[in-house]
Amino acid sequence: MSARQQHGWWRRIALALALAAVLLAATVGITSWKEWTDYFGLRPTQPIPVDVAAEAEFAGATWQLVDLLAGTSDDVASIPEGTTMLLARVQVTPGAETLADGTAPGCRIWLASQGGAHGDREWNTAAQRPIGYVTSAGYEASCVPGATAPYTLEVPFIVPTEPAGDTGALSLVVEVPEQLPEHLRLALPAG
Amino acid sequence: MTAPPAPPARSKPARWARVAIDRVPTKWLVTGATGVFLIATAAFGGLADAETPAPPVIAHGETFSSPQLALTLGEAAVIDSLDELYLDVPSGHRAIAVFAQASNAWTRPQLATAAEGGIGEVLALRVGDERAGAGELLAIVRTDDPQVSPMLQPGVAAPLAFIWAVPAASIDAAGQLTVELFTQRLHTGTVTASGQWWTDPALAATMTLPIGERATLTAVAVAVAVAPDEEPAP
Amino acid sequence: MSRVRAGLLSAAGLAVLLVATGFVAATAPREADWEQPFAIDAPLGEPAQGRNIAATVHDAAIAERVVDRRWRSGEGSTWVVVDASAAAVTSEIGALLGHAALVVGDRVYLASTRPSGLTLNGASLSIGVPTRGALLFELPADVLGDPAAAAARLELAVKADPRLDAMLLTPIDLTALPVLPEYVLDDAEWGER
Repeated sequence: MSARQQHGWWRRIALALALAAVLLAATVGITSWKEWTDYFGLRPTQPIPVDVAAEAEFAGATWQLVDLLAGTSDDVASIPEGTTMLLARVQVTPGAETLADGTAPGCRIWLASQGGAHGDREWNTAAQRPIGYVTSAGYEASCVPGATAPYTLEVPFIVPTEPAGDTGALSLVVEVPEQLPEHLRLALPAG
Repeated sequence: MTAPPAPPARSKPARWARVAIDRVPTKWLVTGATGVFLIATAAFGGLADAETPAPPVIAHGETFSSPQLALTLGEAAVIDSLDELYLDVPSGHRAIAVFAQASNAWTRPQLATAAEGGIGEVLALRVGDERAGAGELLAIVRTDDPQVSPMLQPGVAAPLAFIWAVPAASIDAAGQLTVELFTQRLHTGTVTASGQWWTDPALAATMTLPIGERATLTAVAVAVAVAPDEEPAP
Repeated sequence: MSRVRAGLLSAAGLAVLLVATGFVAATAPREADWEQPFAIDAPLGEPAQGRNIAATVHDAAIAERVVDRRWRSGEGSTWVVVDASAAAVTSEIGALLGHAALVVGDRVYLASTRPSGLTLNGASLSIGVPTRGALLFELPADVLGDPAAAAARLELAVKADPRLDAMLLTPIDLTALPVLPEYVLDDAEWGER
C-alpha cells in the first residue's frame, strides 16, 4: 500500500481501536480487582486498632483488654529459659442483639508484634504447651460461640525475653470468621 | 474443475496420464478407494471389534508387578469385627479383607488410603454377583502396627489388608472370590495441577481366593496362606 | 521479486520460526523449575534458618530396629534416625514441621508415621523455643549398597508442600553413619532446660 493508503486505513479504524483499548483495560482491571478482593477478603487484612484497655464493638460484642500479666523465666519456673510468659485477659460482653439471637461470635485469638528488630511476628496460644498451665477459675480458655452472658477470656503466650525495643508493638488480634477481612487489634501496654 | 493450461510436455506418458486422470469422474475415484480399503480390512479380520484377550490369572504366591506397586496376595477373609480400627461397616454388609504383601515400586512415597485414587484402585473384588471397587473400599490397613492408611515408602515391603464392605447376602452364597488387579500409569499434572500421581486403572490380572473367617483383623487365622516373610501379629 | 523467490523466502522464514518456537518451548523453565523451594544449606551440627524455620540437625544414625513405648518395628528395613531441633521464626500460626524427607538418589522417603511416640515430624513449632526430637525414615534393607547413599540429603520445611518456601538441606553420608542394633524412641521435647 502506498503511504497515503496506509495512513487512511489507520484513521478509519481509529475509533474502533480506541474502544478496543478501553475495553481491554476495563476487562483486565475488573477481573484483577475481583480476584484481589476475593483473596484479601478471606484474610485478616483490615485491622481495627483499639487503644490499650479501651472498649471496642466488634461482631456483635464488646471487647476490652482488662488485664495483662507478665512473668519471665526467672519468676515462672515452668517456662523455658530466656522466655517470658504473657497472660492476657479480655472481657467479652455480647451485645443485646446477639444475646437474643444466641449468635455470640466464636473467635481466634493470637498475639502479633509489629515493627521490632525481628520483623512482624505472630504467636499462638501456649495453653497446650508443657508449661503446667491451667486456665484460672472463672475464666474461659477460648471464645464461647452462642454465649448467654459476658465472660472473660484468658490466653497465655510464651515469647522470647528481649530488650523492650526489639519486640515491637504488641497487640492481641481477635479474628471472627464472619467479619473477615476486618479484625480487632487490641493494643497491649509496652514493656 | 477446468484443467490447468497444459505445461510444455516433458514426456508423452506423463502428459497422457494427467489428462486421463482429469477425465475420470471424482465419484468413481472415491468409491474405488473405499472399496479398496474395505477389501484390505478383510485381510485383518474385518471391521468388527477385536477380541481383547482375557487378563492372565495369577497363581498363589506369585507377585503382581506394576510400575506403581508390587503385590503378593495372601488370603481373603471375612472379618467379624473392625472395632479395633474404629471402622464402621454399613448394616447389611460385611467386611471382607484381602491380605497382601505390598511394595511401593515408585520413587516417591504413596499414601495407601481408601479415599481417592492411587493405591485404592489397584485391587477390586468380585463376590457372587457383586463387584466391590474403590467406592466400596472401607480402608487399607497395615496389619503389623496396625495402622490405617499407611504411607508406603519406596522399595519397603509392608503387609497390607484391603478391606471392602460387601452385601452379606453375596458372601453367604459364594465360597470364593475373584480379585482383580489393575495397572495404573503415572500422570504428570500440567497447568492447573502440579505433581505426579497414578491414575487410569487398567485390568491386568485376576486371582481367585477362597474366603476364610477371622474374628478381628489382626487375629491369626487357622489356615494361613501368606508369603513366607510376613510376620504374625504380636 | 519473482514468485518463486518470494515463496522460497516465506518457506525459509516459516522454517526459522518453527525452529525458534521449538527451541523456546524446549528450554523455557517449566513450573517445576520456577516453583522450586528456596534451598538453604544446613550442615550437620550447625544451626540454619529459613523464612519461618530455624533448625539444627544434631546427629544421625542407622538402626536395624526401632522401639518405643507401644510399638516396635519389624525386621527387614533399614531405619535412619535423625536427631534435630526446630523452631519457627516469624509466625507460629500453622507452623508445623510439615516436610521432613530423606532423598537418596532419585528416591524420596518421608519421615515415618508408624511410631506411636511423638517424633519431630509434624511437631508444632514455636518462635524462639526449639522442639527437639527424632525423625525416623524407613528405607529398604539394601539401601546402603546403593551408590547414591553416600550423597543422601535431608530436607526440612514448614509446609507439607515445600514449593516456593524455604527448605533446609542437610547432606548426610549414610554409609558413614554408626549402626545401632536397636534405637529406643523418646518423645519430642519442647523447650530446652
